[in-house]
This record gives sequence, C-alpha cells and structure tokens, in this order.
Amino acid sequence: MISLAVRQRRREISVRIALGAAPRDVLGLVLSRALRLAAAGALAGPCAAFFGTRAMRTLLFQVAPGDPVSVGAGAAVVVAIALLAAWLPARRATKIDPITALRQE
Amino acid sequence: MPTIQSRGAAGATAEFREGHTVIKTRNLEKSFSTRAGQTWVLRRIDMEIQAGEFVSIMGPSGAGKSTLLSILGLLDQSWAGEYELFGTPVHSLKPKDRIELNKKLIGFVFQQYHLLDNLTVQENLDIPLSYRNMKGSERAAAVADTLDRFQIVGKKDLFPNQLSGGQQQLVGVARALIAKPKLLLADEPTGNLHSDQGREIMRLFKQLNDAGTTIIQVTHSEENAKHGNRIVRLRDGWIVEA
Repeated sequence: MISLAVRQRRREISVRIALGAAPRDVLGLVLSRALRLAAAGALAGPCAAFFGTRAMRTLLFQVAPGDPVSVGAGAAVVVAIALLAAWLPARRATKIDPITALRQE
Repeated sequence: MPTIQSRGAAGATAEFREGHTVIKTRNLEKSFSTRAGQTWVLRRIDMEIQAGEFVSIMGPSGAGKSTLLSILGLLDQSWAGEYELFGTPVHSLKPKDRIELNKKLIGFVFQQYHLLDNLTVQENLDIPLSYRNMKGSERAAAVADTLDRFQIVGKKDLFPNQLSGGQQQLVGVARALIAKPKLLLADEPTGNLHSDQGREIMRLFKQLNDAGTTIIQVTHSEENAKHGNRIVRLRDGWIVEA
C-alpha cells in the first residue's frame, strides 16, 4: 500500500527534492504517512477488540478481555510492522532522480 | 504580469555581483552504458558564466541541454569532470553537501510548472522554505512578501487548477525565487505557454536579470534567447557555440 502511495506521489516527491528536500525529508514524508495509517489501525483495532472479545470470551485462556497490556502490545506490533513495511518504499523514494521522473510526467 | 522591484534579494549580494564567476566547468562529461557500448550525453563541456549574465542554452532535441541544466542545478549527481559553483568545487563534494549548496544558491523553474495540485498558491510558495531551517514566522513573512512582489496576493488561496498556464508559471517563478537563490535555472520556462504568456514570462526574467539575478535557461526559441545576453549552443553533447 505504501509502495503504491510512493508510486502515486512520485511527481510530488520529485518536485520536493528539486526544491530542496533532503533524503531525510523524503523519508519523513513517506514514513509519516505510514505512521498515520498505522495509528488509525492501532486505534480502530482496540475498539473492534472491545466488542469482539465479548463474543470470544470463552476462547480466551489466562487473558482477560480488554487486557490493557495485550491490547497495547498488539497496537505497538501493528505500528512497528507498518513502519518496517514502509521503510523499503521510503528508502526507494529518497533515490528518485527528480529530473528524470519529472520529464516522464 | 507584475513589475518586479529590484530588492537585491534574488541575486546580487556583495560577494556575487557582476564579474564574479558563478559557474566554471572543465571537461564535464556524462555518459551511460548500454549493450551497444558507451552512450555519451555530454562531452568535454568547458564553460564559464559570470554573475549577472542571462545565458540561453540552445540546441536540437537530445543535444544534452536539460541534462546540462540538471547537472548545473546539482540535481544530477552522476557525471565526470570538474564543476565549480561560486568557487566551490562541486566535483569534490559529497551528495549531502551538494544538496545543501543547491538549497543555498539555486532556484529552479520547470517547463510544466510542477506546482503541487493539492496545495494552494500560498502553500506551494512555502515548500522551498520548509526545507531551509526557517522559523514559521519568517516563512510566513517571506511568502507574504513574495505574493506581494509578484502581485498574486489575490490568488494565494487558489489551487493550481484554478489558474491559467501563465499564472501557474508566474507562481513557479515566484517559488523558485522565494528562498533568494543566487542563480535561477529554467528548463523551457515558456514551453507550455501561449506565446503572449511566454513573452510576459521572458519580460519577467529580463527584469529579474536587470535586478541582479544570474539566469540560465534552456530554450528552443530564438526569440526567447534574445532576452538573454549570451547563447550557448549544444549539439550531440558538444558545445558548438559559447
């Protein structure tokens, strides 16, 4: 998804590089988008879990439904995986040759 | 089209006044390898450009004009030879330092304007400043000043698709100058414009040059080149007239 977003924003990223964005700025641009998506997921997940765990109560072993540590750890794992998944497309985005990319537009 | 006032902001500071060498290249070359062998894009480019000049790079398609402009603008890193920009040997700088030099010295105008569609005129003008360690208040002041200078205050909240081609290019030029570069590079700045709008942009360039900005443009138009004071012609990667 982030890879697709980077491809779609290739022109924007090229313009920003041509106007002075350093690789760290491009990394920040791509990773912040990934972080926003992951944060939305990490917030929506516990909400869904709140209702879902009631139905699954009988299947849980030694974990209380809505256990804050489990929910927090789950959310943290989601965010970490999203950032890891975004790292490669973000690195690729820093390597865009702005002039070639803009010429292809 | 606005009349640009000379504020010295876009160019002529004491150390970069007329007569100082802005660009000096020696044996600048670019090539890439193909299955057929080495393909040369630029060959032994030796050129010097002084502060205050308005130079037009001309030549047929594929001559290497835009590639040369990209190298001069520090946007293309893969070339060989020597290149000094305001006395700094670019050829011995690391990529990171080249980016810093680009930010400090160069403004770029594109043929297709390349404004960001989801940002207003005001926000588009702010982009270069957002990468230059400026405080928010300083950035806001610079944007307001530029809107005023280019007489586009009334358009500040419009999006690019609400502007004509000429107006978009005017914003493109304003964006290139907002960070007060010493050198303005333009790749076919009137290539997408109606001829009247193109003439207006050229008049604007002439005013900026008269106010002290060193300008290098790539153009196919002899008429546009007449606004400058020198033509560099390229053919097949070689300089054939300087």
